[in-house]
Amino acid sequence: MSDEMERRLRETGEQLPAPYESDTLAARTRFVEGATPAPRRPRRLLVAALVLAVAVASAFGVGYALASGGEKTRIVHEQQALDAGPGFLPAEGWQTTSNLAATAATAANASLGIRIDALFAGATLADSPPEALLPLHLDDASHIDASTRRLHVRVAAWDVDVRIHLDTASTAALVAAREELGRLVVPSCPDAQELQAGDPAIAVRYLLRWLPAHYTGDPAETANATATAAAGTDAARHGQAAHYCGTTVAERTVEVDVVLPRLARVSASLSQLTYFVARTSSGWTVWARAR
Amino acid sequence: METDADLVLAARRGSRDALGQIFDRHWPRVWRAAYSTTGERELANDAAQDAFLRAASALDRFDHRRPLEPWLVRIATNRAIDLVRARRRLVSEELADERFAFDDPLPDDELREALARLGPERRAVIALHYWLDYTTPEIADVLDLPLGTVNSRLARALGDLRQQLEARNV
Repeated sequence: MSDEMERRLRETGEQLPAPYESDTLAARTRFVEGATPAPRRPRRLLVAALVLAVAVASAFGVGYALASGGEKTRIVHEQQALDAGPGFLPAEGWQTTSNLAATAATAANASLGIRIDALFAGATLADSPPEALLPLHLDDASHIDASTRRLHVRVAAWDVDVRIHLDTASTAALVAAREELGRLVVPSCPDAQELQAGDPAIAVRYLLRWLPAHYTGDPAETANATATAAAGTDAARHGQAAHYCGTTVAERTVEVDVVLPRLARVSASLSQLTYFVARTSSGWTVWARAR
Repeated sequence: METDADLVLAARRGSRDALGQIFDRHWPRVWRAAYSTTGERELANDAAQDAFLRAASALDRFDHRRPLEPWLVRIATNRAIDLVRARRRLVSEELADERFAFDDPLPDDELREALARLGPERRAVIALHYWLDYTTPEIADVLDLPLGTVNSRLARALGDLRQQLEARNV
């Protein structure tokens, strides 16, 4: 039995999958870039980066507003309603900004020479650009000139006009630009797939992994978070999901109710979060936070 | 072909090409070590990438005379075990008991299910020994464990697997 089992183990080892090429490329880029010493930057740029980072935080509802008081800078905690875009999710190496009117957002990566500008407007029936689903894909963009590409689409109720400027079309820059486009979020409806029996449990696992990086408060508050899930018409907020995106999407959505124990000591309502999660052809996505 | 030591020394001097070669040479096996432990691509990506990023930040301190892969595999495997444990802590009690499962199907379904019932520590030892061909002293070095602990962990893992497979065939 032992020899037989060892043979089976070794055969299984030979059948293990390989990493996806896209994951390998992304990891390679991060490794090579991360190991290369960053050039020294003037202090003025660092201050600008800090201001931009704070602006991003406010755009995504973490909520910090800068106020100037004499020579001192004051950081004011401010709760914002906006935490599902439109805009770019924060990511290491990127400076992202959104204006408070939620009509424009920018993502810039100085070391790779990339700048992505996005304009958002309410879509109209007249002169509507082609419809698209998130994530947006760099390959769908048209070339305006040697260094600029444009992607003008309608995502749900939003007219999204994106311009991608690449100083150089190196592999690293293209990979990074592709990834950053994937972090462009717009309140939208997912192309949800039908749910299967085990999906609520998978959705919970996905959401709890996703939460610390996307939670709009102090990430430490997500420690020991627990969650329960209900799918389709069994979900308490099925009606809300249907109102947002129609009955088909609502029936294919898992409602995940999260409890943050740390905040429960302070406020029951603050400690309870509800998200709508769905499976799409490119994986699971958190498509809205229920309110 | 340049040795790992050559590449590490070149990388320290700022060679991006050397860094790329280090990555290309070791990423597949380091990722495999992580995936064998987590069973999930996403967690494996995190663990393997973390190993390389930590390595990048510690290249100056790394003794280039030592083999590079065990160092990377050590970081990735330990990180993978931590991630699996953290996930268990994060999910609700109801889901904490849910079994591990590989994202990708394996041809030997019985064995896959038996492996799923092992804890990440025992699964890591199995993976290192049978799938990455490490000897038990090498595993002891990689996981920073006494050789006796590795031997007993491996024996118990095999015992568990044997028991489960026999139970299925009764």
